Amino acid sequence: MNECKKIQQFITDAVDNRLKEADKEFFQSHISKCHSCRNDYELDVLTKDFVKTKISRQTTPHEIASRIKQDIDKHVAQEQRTRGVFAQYPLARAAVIAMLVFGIAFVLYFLNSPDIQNTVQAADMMDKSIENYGLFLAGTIQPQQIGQNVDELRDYFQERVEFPVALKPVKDCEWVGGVLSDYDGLSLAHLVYKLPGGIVYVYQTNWNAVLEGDKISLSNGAVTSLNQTGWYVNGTHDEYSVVMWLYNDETVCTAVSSMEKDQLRQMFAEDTQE
Amino acid sequence: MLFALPKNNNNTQQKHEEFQREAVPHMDILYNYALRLTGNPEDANDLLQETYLKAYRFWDKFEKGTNCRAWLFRIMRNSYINRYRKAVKTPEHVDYDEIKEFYNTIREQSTDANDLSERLFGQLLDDQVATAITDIPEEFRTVVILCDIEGFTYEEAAEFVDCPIGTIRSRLHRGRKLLRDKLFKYAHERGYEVKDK
Ligand SMILES: [Zn+2]
Repeated sequence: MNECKKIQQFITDAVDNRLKEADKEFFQSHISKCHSCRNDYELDVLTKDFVKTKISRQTTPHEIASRIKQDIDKHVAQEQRTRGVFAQYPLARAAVIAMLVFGIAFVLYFLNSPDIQNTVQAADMMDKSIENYGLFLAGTIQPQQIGQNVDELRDYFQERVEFPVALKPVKDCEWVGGVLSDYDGLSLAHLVYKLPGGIVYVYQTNWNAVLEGDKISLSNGAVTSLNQTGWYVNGTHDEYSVVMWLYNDETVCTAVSSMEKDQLRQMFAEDTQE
Repeated sequence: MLFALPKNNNNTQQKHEEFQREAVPHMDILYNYALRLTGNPEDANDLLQETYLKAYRFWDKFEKGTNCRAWLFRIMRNSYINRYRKAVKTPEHVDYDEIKEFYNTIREQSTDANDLSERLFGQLLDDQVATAITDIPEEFRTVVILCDIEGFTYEEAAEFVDCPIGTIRSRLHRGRKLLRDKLFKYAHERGYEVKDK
């Protein structure tokens, strides 16, 4: 009987194949002659196996998983509202600074060549965009308004700018930030989308003001392309892509990102059809 | 341009990325635990949501390099216990003799495990099995879920529950007994006909 008591302590390990070698034989020989202990052991094995076959593994319902993701994103956005937002990409920042140095060298080089004076002057809005993209990455510019999606920025822009601001929803966007600035009397709208792989910066201003060209201007090629197709995709940068388009014929937008330019263009493609 | 000066702060972004990488991949296993613990999808959803929010809020408290899954699991278990504390019943007295007697009888007629399982638990539906699990007290339920359903080792379960391995073993031992008794009763209350002679 004392043996049965000892066996009871081994049952759970036996069911789970955890018996020590030294105890296995003792256990086996006991249950081969003691039906009560054998039955206890077998009942546990049967229960364990039965439960396992009846309870199937579920995956988290999609809506729950995305609701949780949204909850967390909301928290992130709140934290970012209270803390600073940027300066979290030290490597990217170094890369952008390097690009800007090259960019300035490039500009200086062509400034000395009168034949393409036009190109240099016309690149202004594009240069500004690239420069701002770098400033966003470096944390020098911060959004004043942050939302989970573009709809949360609508009021912010609507009350403050005279041109329609393109607020295109972007898939998988973690949060979106906006800020306005004034450039010698001309309003500029800046949007920044935070995506899993990095940021997309969009610079927007009044198209007519750009056509007048006294504050911000564009190259003839870009103007022609925008007038004819609504788009201008610049292909000269390797480290980042720049895509320009017109929104509602009143606003000119420039997006800058490290993603492929086709992908970047795709992201804002519907805006021209509105 | 009128831009505010930057505050150099990369904590939020880094925290978010870490959380995405380390905590989010364990969602399914936590969802299953929540489902088995509460017994219904609505409560499981709430519990899962509460767990992840707490985890995010307390991410700074998570000791990097330790077992994130076990940490999340403990948050979920504590949330569950806090939320349903009032509903916890004292374990009822269980008489195991009935099932043991029954098994003794059928065991003399058959040695085939499938046949014996069938006679013991009959055609219980998955839902009824899930209900039986939620009917046993939480301390035993949790260990049965971890070891028998999720297939964790005693060592892993001990880390999850934060107790010694011996405690896991004894809870599992009793948990299985409580559960088999429930299942047996459910199967036979359902009018499943058992002819033992
Ligand atoms: Zn015995």
